[in-house]
Amino acid sequence: MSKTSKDELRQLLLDLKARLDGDELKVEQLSDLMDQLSRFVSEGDKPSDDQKRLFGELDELSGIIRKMKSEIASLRPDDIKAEYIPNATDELDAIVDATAGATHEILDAMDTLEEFAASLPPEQAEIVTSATMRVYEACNFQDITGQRTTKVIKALKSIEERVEGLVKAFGDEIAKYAASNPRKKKEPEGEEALLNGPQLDGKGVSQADIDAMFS
Amino acid sequence: MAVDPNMPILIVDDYKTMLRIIRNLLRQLNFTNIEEATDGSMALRKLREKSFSLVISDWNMEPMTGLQLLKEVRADTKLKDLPFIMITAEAKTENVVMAKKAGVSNYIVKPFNAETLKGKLTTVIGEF
Repeated sequence: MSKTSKDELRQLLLDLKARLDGDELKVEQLSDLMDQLSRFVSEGDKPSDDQKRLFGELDELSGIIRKMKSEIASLRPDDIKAEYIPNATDELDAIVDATAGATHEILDAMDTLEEFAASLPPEQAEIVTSATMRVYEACNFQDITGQRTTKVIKALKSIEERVEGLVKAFGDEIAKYAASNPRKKKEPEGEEALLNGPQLDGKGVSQADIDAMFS
Repeated sequence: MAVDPNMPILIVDDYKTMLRIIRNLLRQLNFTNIEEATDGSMALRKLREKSFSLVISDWNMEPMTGLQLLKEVRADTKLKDLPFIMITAEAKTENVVMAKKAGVSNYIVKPFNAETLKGKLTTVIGEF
């Protein structure tokens, strides 16, 4: 190996070490570095046994990284980011809104009952008041549900950020995989195609729309 | 000394539903003079504008949390002795320890019932 090549190799290894130490090395850069390093195997004089072992290891590592990239691309993390996580968070937001709305309705009804209780004889009023108090207690659930759901949404957002990092790191690989493997998603047919569960606000038809279809 | 059911109480929570539930439960316990705030800074403004006899506050709020509100109250010479009950879903030991250290008068974990609320109110402000 010529002196220039040795210097280049040394510089490359130093660069690799600095990036590993600084935790700045991206997977695709690592693969490129492996390719650059393997270039030295064909250069210069006879490599030593240590060099041969090193290049063998690097070659194997490069193969593993390529395989890993391809496997990750086949998982289609772009879909997870673009479709599944946003849908899941929308559904969870809808749960929080729906339970909050229902709880306010319940509380409105309880207010009416309490006003009515004031006009009742004391023993009867006591029964109504006691029942409404139990309803107020039970309505605590909405706050807890909201807070728990918010925690799940935060966890999903954190997963989304990590997936986004993955999509950025493997962008080309994913695009190549998507182009060569068009989705063969089996579209549901017949009644199965009609069963999509509750629709988010504004996504489905309203009762008024349905009534109009019957009039 | 008997507790005045007309004593001014400030309830603080960023969930409107929760404010409504606490207000209604207090009303059923015959407390009628209740004001609301939806976060710590709004509560602090109200506490400095008007005299209250009790604060019932959630912990997890933005921008000022219930714990920050409690610390501000305890650091204020005019408010430092104000009874302060925390009602929160934060149920870890370290939360309770932290709140006690900051000078909370009592601590209720959500979900709670009227009996618990009444019990803690009695401990903090006396029999009613």
